[in-house]
Amino acid sequence: MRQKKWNIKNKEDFFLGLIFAAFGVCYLLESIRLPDKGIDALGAGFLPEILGGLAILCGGILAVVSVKGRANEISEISMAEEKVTESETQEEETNWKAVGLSLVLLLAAVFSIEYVGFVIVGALYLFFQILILSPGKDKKIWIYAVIAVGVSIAVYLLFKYAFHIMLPNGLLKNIM
Amino acid sequence: MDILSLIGSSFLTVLTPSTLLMLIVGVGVGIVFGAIPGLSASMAIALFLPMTFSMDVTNGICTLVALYVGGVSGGLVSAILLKMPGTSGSVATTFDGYPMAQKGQAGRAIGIAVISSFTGGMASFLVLMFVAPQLANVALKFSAVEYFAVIVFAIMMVFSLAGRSVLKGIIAAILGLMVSTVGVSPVDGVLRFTFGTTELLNGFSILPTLIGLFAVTELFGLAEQKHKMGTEKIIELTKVKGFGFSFREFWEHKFTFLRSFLIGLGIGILPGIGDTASNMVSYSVAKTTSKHPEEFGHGAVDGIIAPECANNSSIGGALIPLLSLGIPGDGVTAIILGGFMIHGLTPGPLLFTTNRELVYSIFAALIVCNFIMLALEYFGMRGFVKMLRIPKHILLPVIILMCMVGAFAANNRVFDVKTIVLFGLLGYVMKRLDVPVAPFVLSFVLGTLLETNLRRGIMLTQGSFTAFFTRPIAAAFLIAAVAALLFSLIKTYRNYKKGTQ
Repeated sequence: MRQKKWNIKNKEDFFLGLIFAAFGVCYLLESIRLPDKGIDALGAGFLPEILGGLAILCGGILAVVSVKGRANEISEISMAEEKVTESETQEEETNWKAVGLSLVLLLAAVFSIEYVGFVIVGALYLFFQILILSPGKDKKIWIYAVIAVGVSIAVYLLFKYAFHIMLPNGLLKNIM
Repeated sequence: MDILSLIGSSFLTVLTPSTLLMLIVGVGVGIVFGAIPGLSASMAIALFLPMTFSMDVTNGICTLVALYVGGVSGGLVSAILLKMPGTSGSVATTFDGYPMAQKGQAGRAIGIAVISSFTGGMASFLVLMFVAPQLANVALKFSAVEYFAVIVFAIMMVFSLAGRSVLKGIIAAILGLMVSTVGVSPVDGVLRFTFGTTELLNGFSILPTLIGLFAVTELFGLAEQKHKMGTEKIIELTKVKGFGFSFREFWEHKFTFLRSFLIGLGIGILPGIGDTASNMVSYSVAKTTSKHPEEFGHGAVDGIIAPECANNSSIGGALIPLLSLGIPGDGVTAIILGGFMIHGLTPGPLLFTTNRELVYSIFAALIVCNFIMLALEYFGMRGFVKMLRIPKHILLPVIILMCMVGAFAANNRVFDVKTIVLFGLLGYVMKRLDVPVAPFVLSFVLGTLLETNLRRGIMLTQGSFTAFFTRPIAAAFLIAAVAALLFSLIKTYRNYKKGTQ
């Protein structure tokens, strides 16, 4: 029987194909600006131009195949049903809040580490990340805090004295 | 120096107290990373890479291979006791390992798995020791043209064999190549895709990129499933005499050992699939050829030997192209390649002439690590089982913090720390969309090498592409690459047609 209704996986593949093809267009436009011939017959733009073209082609094919509702068959027929069910189950159980908070926390940590310093950022990151990931309501906040501060200081000292690698001091540059 | 005295001096080098200590620590940490589901050998190596900066090159590289051996082997612990494979290389071990453990024979199941890992590893290391130098001798005669062909073959094999989706595998490989083109171009030094930033002049470094893909992706994966944490039930370890597996039993299963070793070695040599596929293929072949296939899934001895012998045998296989050609076959060997580069070395045929002692020290380290693995898993199994109880919501953030340090230490710049988040997010999106990561990793790592050899090859042949097909070795690899691509496309098309009927 022909399946007219899109399932979730097909929509995902369709947008993946479109986004990849669009990325290919941007990449190709940037590649065309590169010099065609260098000291060799190919030049720095040769491989990027081919890659851009292939990206548009493959992204386009994936999008077209998905529109026809056959992305899973392209992936592997025998696993299609199983994968869709699996994906639906995942959809129900995915904790997007924890994923989003972890991403925000990571971004905050990597963008502030240079200015605030490794020890402070490391301790704060560890504390909040453990808090985000800890399951259940019984959160042992004091233990998490001790682990966060202890590990952060220990890692800093380990790298400074054992491996001679200076991590960013940031706000504590006069103390450490 | 003749080969025998070289082998002898290599063993003496790795048996010095400092190197031996590093090997014991490496294998032990590797087993812990392999045993805990969610952590992997790749993560362990990426994490410990910065710690090897201050070591001499032999100790540094030997520590990395120790982590690799321990990491692959450690997966059996949780596969048997938790029914959760610690690594993707131990998936098939759960099929018979866990049922045997449920019958109150957990100690015996672990014993069989450890002996199988040891046997598979040892046989593959011996093959590596004798095959890699010969292959390197042949590869010494390779020009840029042949190198280009070998790399094309490696990349084609990854998406032809590795993933469930050929089209998505191709997309991942193209994306990996695109990322590798960022920075100064090889041969003529033109700036590409740097958008005026100085941080991108040398492109994205291998280490932070791989840390992001392997470790940070895992953090997001854990976050989305956090409600499932701590619900696993660990089967109690039972006491057995020795390994619970006599020499007579070993001899009775000799053909399973031999077949699994050959499957593991062969699949390990092929790029991109490694122990993830070898344990499954080996299990399935063992079941198909068994006189008692009905016993499989209920604690069959062959069902434990086959995957565990094959996944460890893949280590030696995967190291053959890395050491003799400089081409990593999977994520783990790609990080080890990064380790070589950080120590100022380029794996490949020249290494066998310029750093012969180091190469043979690696061979010796692998063999010593195998014995260490056997001893640690025999005497320290209860300790590793306790490690399974460490709460992951505490362990993983600590590992991520160490990864940030590792990324920073690679080039002493904060930009690389930002890189791990970027690629962690990319890896997570790829995982959610069922886009395989292996083709991305291999294409990214080999991208610059591919372009350099293509352009050097064209200079060598005075601008002629036909020369790539007239040289026998290059032609053979290119034809094999095209055949692999056509084969997977035809298979995909047949599946597509079946789906439309």
